[in-house]
Amino acid sequence: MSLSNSPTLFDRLRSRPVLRTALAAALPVGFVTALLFVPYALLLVHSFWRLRNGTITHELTLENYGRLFGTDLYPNTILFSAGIALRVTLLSLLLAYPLAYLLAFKVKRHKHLMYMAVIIPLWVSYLVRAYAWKIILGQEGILNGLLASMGLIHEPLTFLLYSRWAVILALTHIYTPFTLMPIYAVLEAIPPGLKEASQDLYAGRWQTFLRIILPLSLPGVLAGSTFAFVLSMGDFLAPQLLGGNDSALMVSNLVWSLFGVAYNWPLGAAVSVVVLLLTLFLLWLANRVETAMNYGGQRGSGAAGPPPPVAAAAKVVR
Amino acid sequence: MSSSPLLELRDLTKRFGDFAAVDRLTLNVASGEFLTLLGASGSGKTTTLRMIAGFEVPTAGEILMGGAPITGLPPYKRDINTVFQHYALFPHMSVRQNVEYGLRMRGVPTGERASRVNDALEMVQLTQLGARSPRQLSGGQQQRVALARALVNRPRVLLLDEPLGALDLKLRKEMQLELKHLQTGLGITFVYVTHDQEEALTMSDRIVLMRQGGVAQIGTPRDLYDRPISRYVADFIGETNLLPGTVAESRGSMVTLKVGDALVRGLSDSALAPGTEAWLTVRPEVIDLLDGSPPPAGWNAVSGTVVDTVYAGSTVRAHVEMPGGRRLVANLAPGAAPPIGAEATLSWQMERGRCVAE
Amino acid sequence: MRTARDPLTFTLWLTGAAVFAFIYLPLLVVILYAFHRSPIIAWPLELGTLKWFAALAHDRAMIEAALASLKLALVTVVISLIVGVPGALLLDRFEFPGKTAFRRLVLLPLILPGIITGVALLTFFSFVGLSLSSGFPLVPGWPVVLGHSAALTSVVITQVFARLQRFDRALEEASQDLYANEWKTFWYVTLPTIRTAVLGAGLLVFTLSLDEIAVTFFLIGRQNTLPLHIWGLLRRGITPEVNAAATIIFLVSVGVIVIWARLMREHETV
Repeated sequence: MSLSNSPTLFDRLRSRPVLRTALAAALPVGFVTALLFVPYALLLVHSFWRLRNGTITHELTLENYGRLFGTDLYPNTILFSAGIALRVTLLSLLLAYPLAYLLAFKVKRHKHLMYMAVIIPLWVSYLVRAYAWKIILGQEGILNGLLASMGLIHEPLTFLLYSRWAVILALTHIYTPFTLMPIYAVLEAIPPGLKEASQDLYAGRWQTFLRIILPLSLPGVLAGSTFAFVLSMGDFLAPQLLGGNDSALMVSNLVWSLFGVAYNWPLGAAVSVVVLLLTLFLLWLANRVETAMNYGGQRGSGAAGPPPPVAAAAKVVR
Repeated sequence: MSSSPLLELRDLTKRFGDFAAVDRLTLNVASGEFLTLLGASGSGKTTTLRMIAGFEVPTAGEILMGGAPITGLPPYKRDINTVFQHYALFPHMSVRQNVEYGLRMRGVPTGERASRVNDALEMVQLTQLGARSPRQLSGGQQQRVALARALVNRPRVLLLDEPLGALDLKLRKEMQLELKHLQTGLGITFVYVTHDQEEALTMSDRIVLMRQGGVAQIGTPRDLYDRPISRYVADFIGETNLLPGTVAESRGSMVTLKVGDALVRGLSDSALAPGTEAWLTVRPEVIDLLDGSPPPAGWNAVSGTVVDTVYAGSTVRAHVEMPGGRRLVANLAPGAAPPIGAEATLSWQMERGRCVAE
Repeated sequence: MRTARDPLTFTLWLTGAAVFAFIYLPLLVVILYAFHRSPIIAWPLELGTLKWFAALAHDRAMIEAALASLKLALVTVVISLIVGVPGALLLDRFEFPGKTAFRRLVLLPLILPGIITGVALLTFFSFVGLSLSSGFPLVPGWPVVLGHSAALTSVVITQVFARLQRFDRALEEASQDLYANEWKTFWYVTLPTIRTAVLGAGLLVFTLSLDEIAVTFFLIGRQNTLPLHIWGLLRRGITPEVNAAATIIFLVSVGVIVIWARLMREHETV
């Protein structure tokens, strides 16, 4: 029997919970602090610095924010981005919900397979999916070619590409599966007995849907739309590829150029800070709405936690 | 059984904030005995077990095994094994790998491991299922694997945390007997936790009835059943009648209790002063129906109206309401029950009833 | 029982199919045009050649970019797992001041526009003075590696944490009851049980790192990653070679998700 009694590392740690916690926290907290907290904090600090003669000085100033709120360009761009995001979110919802409903309630065989099939595009390179619309909508693109060969038009439609509609279309295409995931999850979780109970109590299909299914699916709808909104508002690739020079400038493009060609880091930082605060605010708002929606006992997922972590992760860093 | 206790708990206390789950518990467990910690949920029985196992650190008090203190030791340094309530079988290992886990951790060589595992599996009659995954087993089979996994290590004490709770009634009764036989055959000390008093009565050498972190009574099943020392114990164990009243007189160990207008007598272990509130507890099966003749000497007699008769197969339970509203339940032979509404006199031997305080 | 032919159900099916088509058609178009004969991507489609795939095989710039992306992704997976798994354990089992703040901080890269995380890291590395090209041949630049890791560690933490929450602690107690100390318990019981979540998270990080653009753009040194390279091509001129590359990316992605789905479907009744 080998039960030794000599003190091991664990014995020493057991009596010192603080030390134990510190050791466990060292690597993750250290890493996250150094590589996330400090950078975001530094960005905030940059927003208060002054750009003088093309170099960044460490003088504190509010002029960046002054410029941000004073010049029309910046608030307008933010509003414009929000507008795009709103349209994308609504369209995605409109598209995602029926498909989610179909998958959850009407597909009997291979349900999991079908669900995976819907999710797969989420995993395919974002760039590829945005690029697809470029070749479809272009003047010499596929859609124009198709329409011309069918005799429906005589000149290529120019409004398709390099317009806000292209951006909305592409973003909707990209985020619809994304919106679908939490809705599907919530619909799946509805006990089948509820539908039957409702019909037992004389409610027809529409009534059952409106009064039972829809309200119960709202947390999923909220989660899906929150993320779709936040992420499409901050999107930069779609507007860059499909938006044309100025017809679809979104806030991330602004930040991009301020940190790139326009070389005004402090101003770019200020814009970023505003976007960051806006995003946090939206999430907080969604959280509040969800808490208010909670049906006794049903676990609210919280807009910043799961829906499927995959959903959140799948549209990470763009 | 040897004379010095194998396991000693001294003033064992566990607090969670202000709440004392276990409060100055002192207990000795003899080597080779089947001891049951019995109690309602919240009584502290599971917490006590976990402290013995090492999963909870006591707030105060000591635990000694074989005279040596083990209070501060982590579970893996104690010569004690546990059968968990939901078995806690490792899902990513086969039955065999589960059972040999403890041996592996202690560095028992492969050959010896294999033979000991085989023996353990045979002991619980699961020899053919060694290669299966726990997920493929029924509840009863999983429970046996948990048992084998613990016993293969030949611990000095085996702790069992309500292991039969998830089984259906028939299986539970079978397992109760099996466990008892196993314990007697192996001679290992079992400390068993349950809330089921019937289970405790069936299996235990001694029962510790716990209440709110402390001991309500310790004794053999017989002790607790026939000679409860408090109303709580009398009520918890088995079925009983409880007649509340005031102590009229106390002579030696015989106490006279005034219940409503009637006077009944019963034995008492403790001195009950006249005027105190007390209960008379008497089991339904010791009560007889008088047929009109006066009660024999040394027997209580109580009259009332029959309000209910419940057929229970081998007996008929007659509910008799005394003037004043108190009810007595008597187990009578089928056919001997009087009709509802009739007047009846129930009688029992005075020594079969006990007077207890709260 | 209503048949599938009643108008309401029929409309539902139709709508669902249309949405499904909407989700897939653009991808299909890209893949089909990878086999297009003409170097100009226009209607009509002329199938029947593999020359673009052949061109890929000889495209040094593309191949180098792909390799750089691969290396970057692998190193990112390693780092994010090394930091993320302990991070998840920390959140699951320990209490400490600032825990909520840490939790929220960890989620930030997942919900903020990638650009913001990218520029934040840029200001950091430039402030610290770490050159974007610093590194050695095996690692395409420390800033971009650390940047990816910082952003994607969150993925590991959330995934593994979710798994840990479902993990039955009784298993660890049972292990300790059977003479295994804390480290052995972690190694023999905890880790194998959460293994699928860890692997799944690793796969996710790998895929996301391969496709990453925003953070990469600001932190990359001299080398190009695959998405950045393709993006450059998109601005200059599009040939179906891009479609061929996209097709391959698509196949790899599908492969990865199939593996991931298998992992996630492993029986996890604990």
